[in-house]
Amino acid sequence: MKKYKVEEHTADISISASGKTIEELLVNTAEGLLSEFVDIASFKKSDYKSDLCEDKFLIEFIDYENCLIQFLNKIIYLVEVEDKVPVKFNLSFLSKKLEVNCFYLYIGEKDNVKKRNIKAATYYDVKIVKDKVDYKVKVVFDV
Amino acid sequence: MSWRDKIKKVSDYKWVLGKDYKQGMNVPAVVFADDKLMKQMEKEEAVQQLANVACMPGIVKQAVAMPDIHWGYGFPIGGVAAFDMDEGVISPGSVGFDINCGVRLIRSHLSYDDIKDKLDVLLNLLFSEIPSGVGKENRKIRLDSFDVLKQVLKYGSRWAVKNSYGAEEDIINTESFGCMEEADPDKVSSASYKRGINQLGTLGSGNHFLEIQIVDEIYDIGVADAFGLFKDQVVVLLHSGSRGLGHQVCTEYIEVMIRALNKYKIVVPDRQLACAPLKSREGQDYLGAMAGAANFAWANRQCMTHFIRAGFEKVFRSSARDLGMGLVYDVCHNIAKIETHIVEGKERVLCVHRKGATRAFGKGHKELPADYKDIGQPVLVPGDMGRYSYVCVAGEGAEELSFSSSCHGAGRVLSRKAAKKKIHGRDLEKDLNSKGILVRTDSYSGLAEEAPMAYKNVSDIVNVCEGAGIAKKVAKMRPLAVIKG
Repeated sequence: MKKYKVEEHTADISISASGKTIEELLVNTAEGLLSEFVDIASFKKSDYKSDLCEDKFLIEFIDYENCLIQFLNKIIYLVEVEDKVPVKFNLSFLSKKLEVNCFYLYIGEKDNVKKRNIKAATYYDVKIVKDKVDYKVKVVFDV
Repeated sequence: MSWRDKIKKVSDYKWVLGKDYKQGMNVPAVVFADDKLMKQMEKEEAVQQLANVACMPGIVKQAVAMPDIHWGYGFPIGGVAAFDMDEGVISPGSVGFDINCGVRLIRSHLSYDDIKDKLDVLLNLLFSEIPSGVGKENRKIRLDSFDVLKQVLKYGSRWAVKNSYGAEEDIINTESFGCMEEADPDKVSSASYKRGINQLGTLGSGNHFLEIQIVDEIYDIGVADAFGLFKDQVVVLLHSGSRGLGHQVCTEYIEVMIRALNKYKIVVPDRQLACAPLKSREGQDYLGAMAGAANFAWANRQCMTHFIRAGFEKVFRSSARDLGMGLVYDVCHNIAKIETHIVEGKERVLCVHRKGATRAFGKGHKELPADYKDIGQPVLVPGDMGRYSYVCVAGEGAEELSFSSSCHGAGRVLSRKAAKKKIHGRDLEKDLNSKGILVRTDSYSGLAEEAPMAYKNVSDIVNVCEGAGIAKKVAKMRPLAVIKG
């Protein structure tokens, strides 16, 4: 099964994703977001200002849906404001906290690798469900 | 049961979904539409979202949908809801991420014959002077520090005019005179400041645009004259908002409100509608931050107005004043405001949320500038880049029908993905060129997403507003040149 899929939505962008674990679901949804956000294929070595860098951040959450949306909004902030494009995540849960090790490329002011502005991930109808195999979720992003 | 089976047509332009439709609805949901628009609405779930809004605590009288309503997230785009000051709430998701996204119209003394041979040069100049598109920063306006940005958030258009980006008359012809007094810059995070500090005077992307238009038709000569509009006149319509700063304010305060739901024992059908009592600490903090972002948006549009005027001055070798480039009006369409309204014959102070809806104060309202007091507020309704936009005037019925609110645009009918499947950006540019419309964009993919076919016909929208008594048509404009964000 595909890790994520961009779905139809009248005004915005909707991404459905799946994963065998919550961690995998978070990462796959983030990859879906980044596929709409950044033209990864157009990356050239000259676009980077540095090699892979690492950021750590902590998310305190109420439930997994709240965790997912905060995680996605943090990624939006990293790309929009700090010009960092995450390429790999290591996630570890500790009770109601998520520790994120984010490995990213610093793209400086290379706006041309950004495909669009994404304002935020929304909570609209967000529900993480589990079938026999996978966790699944659908997220609407305001663009 | 679907809302489609429950909604009742009560007049040619009004539909009501009773509060028995769904458990938890505190008031009915009212939709302004004709049969054609209702058929379009039935294809998506915007009315279901409106029913969710009707469940919010302290909502007064009715949840309202304008004829351009379309599927959003949480609160539908084109929705209006008013809340009691004591029992009611304030909700960041019900304002939207682009706080004070809005439209302003700049008039001129020029006619088509004056501009036709200079349009290409003028458009190129404006495209280079006003940053547009993804992540663009403004290198002409560099704010030295967060302290300066705080002044922008505190004073809005007044900051811009004080810093030579406009004239005093611009402030008079801006909704709320370009500044919400409730602004509290200290309630805005450093992350939000960081996201906005380099974006003052920038258009942004998505559906934001700058259009040079020509007045194509006048419907009410008297009102048009009062607004300074005449047939074949060149005008500039600008659509932009609070950029990244507003997005970040909304993002962060939705998190605050989600935690407040539990604290104040509030139940909402959708977390995106998370809210807090208006008078709570969380509610007041958001109001202060939102008003600050709204002021940033007014300053943003005011700064761009300055660069538009400068572009015209350079091309026409005449001052903006001599070119007659005054502001007709500036309206915001994503906002929560404390306003006084008549409900069941009684005057009440309410917190009115408009998300994709325009304030429409009728004649005599105390918040209107003197020149418009006997006429009513201009309501600016942008359409798509291939057809028309409208100037309307607030109707006599708006207060009773919609908490003095009107439509804000055409409303999408195709998804972005579907629009891109139907037309390529470069083909769209050629098509528009063949109709005499010039286009500049730095994203042809983004241009395709905003293709005219992706939108309802704005004429259908304003006709419903006029039929319902919400707003009356004054003038219709068509685009000559478009800068697409």
